[in-house]
Amino acid sequence: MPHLKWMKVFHLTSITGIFLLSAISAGQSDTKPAAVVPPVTPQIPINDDLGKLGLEDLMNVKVGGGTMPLRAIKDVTASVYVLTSDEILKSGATNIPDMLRMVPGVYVAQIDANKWMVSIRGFASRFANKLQVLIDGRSIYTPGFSGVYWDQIGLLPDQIERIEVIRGSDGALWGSNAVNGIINIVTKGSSDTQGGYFEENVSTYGAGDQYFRFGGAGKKQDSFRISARTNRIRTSEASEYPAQDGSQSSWVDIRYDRQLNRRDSLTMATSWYTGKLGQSTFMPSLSNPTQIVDSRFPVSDFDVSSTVVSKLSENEVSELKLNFNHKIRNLPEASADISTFDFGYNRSSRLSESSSLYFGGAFRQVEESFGNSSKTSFNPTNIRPSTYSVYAQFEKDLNSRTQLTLGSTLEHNAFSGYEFQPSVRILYRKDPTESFWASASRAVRTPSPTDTAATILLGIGFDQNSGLPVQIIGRTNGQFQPEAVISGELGWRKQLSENLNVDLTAFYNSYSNLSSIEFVNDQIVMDAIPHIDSNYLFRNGKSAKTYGLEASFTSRMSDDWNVTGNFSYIGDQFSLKQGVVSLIPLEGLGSSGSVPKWQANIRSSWNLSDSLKLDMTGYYVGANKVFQRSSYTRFDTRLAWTFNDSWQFSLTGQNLFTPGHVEASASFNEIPVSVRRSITLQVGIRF
Amino acid sequence: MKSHLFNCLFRFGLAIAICGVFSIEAFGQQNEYSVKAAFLVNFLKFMEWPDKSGPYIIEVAGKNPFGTYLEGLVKNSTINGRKVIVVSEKQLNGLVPSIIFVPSSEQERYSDFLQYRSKPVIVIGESTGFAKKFGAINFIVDHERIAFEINPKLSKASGVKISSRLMQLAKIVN
Repeated sequence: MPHLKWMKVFHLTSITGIFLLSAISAGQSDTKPAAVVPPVTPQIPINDDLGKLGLEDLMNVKVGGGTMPLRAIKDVTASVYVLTSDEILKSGATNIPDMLRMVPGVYVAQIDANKWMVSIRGFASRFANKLQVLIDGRSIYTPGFSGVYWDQIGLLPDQIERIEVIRGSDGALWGSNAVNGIINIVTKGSSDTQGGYFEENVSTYGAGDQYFRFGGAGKKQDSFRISARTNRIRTSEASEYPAQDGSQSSWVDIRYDRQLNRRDSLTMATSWYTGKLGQSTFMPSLSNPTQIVDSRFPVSDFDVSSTVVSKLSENEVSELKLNFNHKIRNLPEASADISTFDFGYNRSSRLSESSSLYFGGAFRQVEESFGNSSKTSFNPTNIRPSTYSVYAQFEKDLNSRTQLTLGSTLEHNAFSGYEFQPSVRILYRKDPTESFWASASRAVRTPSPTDTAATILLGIGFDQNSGLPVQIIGRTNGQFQPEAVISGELGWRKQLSENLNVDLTAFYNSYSNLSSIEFVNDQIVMDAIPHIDSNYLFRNGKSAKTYGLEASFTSRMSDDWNVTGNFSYIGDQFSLKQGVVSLIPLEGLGSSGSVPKWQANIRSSWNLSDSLKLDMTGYYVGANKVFQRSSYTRFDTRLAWTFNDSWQFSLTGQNLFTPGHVEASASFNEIPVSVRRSITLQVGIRF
Repeated sequence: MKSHLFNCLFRFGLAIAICGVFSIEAFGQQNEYSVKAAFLVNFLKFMEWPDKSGPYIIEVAGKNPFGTYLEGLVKNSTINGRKVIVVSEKQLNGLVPSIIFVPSSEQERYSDFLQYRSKPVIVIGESTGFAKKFGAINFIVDHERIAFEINPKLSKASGVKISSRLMQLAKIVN
């Protein structure tokens, strides 16, 4: 390992390089296809208690379309938080990451106008690869390049029914990569979005955002919706370096729902997304170690899916899903063309009054081709991995108060073979107002081409002894193993009074085989520019333990005023295998301190009158050691006025009390910008 | 490639077949209407009728999908200090109901209920489009949960005041 001397810029380059590699090595691949959409809310029949429930609780009672057992969300045996369409609307947010800021235990940091880091329970990065993210049960976790392209989700509150966030691992139901959490975005059915709607958002950061939707119904119990949106964002003010992050995006969505007969219903949906996303990135090379490249790179996504849900009987429902997705991301530092075909079958059955079974399977075929750049190259450049899996979960009421859940996924992926991901959960309902739960599970993050086929230029530096420039190169050897977690959780929920609910979760996670970048050797290369190649290998030399506490409360102060609050703490301890020399220190990205230890928020939702609503949210985000960002507070507010049935106006202020702050640091060498104070005026017209 | 794909599909099919061995006994339960019944009773708390005396009257039109569940819910209880009684159309005997629930079985004669338009009666249905024309409130099943739509024009016409909290939870339709 050469004795490296880093000048300021080189230092930054190297750090961003490190981020890159953890982004990449921390890897990706989503192998579990179109995960299963078994109900997120497993619980117990409430029967005779129904009459005691208030309206909100009644609205949470699952009737399973008359098929599944009655289920109420408070009995879930996992840390589930559901953002309702009302909360989403009232947040004033026009992108998913901003909506997720409200959820306890979720860490959101904006990098630039079109990039975010979203993570749960640690391991923050633009490519947070331990999080399964789905839209209507279809995974949008991108194979090849790990993580989720948040920019491609153009959904506005008008289209979103709810967002279900599960913290913690649940590979048994959701398959691979549900290591630290699951985010399932559920969109509205076309029958819920009938008629015309036009929305214009005028913002101090944007150059315009227009949304149009029209929904209609046919005569055969069918309905459709078509929507289109364009969004332009102006270049942000830069932080340390100027960043050209202005972008332009368009979305078109079409959805068709039809009740085919008494048993079967069909949903067909298609969406197109095209965008030109601006960014400034460090692209160091031997000849120009400080090079910054501004680009406006094209992205596109085409998706088509078809789902048939069949109510086989009062106690049995099945779902058949087909999905095809094609995306192109022509980033200058790494381009990718990815096609994915998913097939999934899910079924849930009530076996008796006290037991239920969920099972199903999935098949995914991916075809990926990567473009090589001075920074990243793949060998081979075309990869066609396939994955297949089966899962089953069994729920049984041991007695009137205790419910046991056992389940597992068995999955085969092209990189590491078979993976077994079991879980056991137990729920104890002390009385209708109080419940305890505990769970233990194993989940894996499966390897992807970036773990097994990539060579990445991680950074450029100078060797102090020889004065030669150094290329830090990370390579893969095809033997990368899945990263695994064994997770334990304890939960407590209680209705303290008629108007106050609390929810507490404690977790302890033990990770093994975490991605590491290990030193191999140095080679002097006598080229046109004599230099040293410092060679590293992506391996599984790291392990970690994380632990934390998440709490939330909701309080109904009056009929018209609700207050909710959340706080979360996470601690961690990382270690390297003996003898390993790692490029990233133990306090680096993908290691300790990549998320703030403390986070909290408090939200007030107040209906001043039938037509006037005021919402306010304050956020505290603790310091982020790895990103070298100090703690910050953020205050968002929204005032909405419904003039009449067709005209609505709202004014949203984000980050009001400070002129701006940098939230993130580079994950893939991109330059993060300052998230500024902004004001958005929204006009919505229904017709 | 092709044979590999075939192999995968075969294994997948096999796995499904194994899962299919579980035999499933049907087990009937009318959950949806228990929840709807609880909603109906709850609605009374959030509406204000011009006539504030006497019991609340819930009329279930036509074929009663609740069985005796709804009666059981309101038995021996009062809302806003008033008793609640559940009646069928025939038992009405000229009384003006507070709420009429129109089950989807009565689809053929929805227009019969237009006669209540400007009367202090909230007509509640459970089929797509019901709140557009026939009644101020309509139940929908949404992602396996019961939700409801309110048509503010029809509720205003009835003279029954609906609280903002109820409006807030409803999907507003025109």
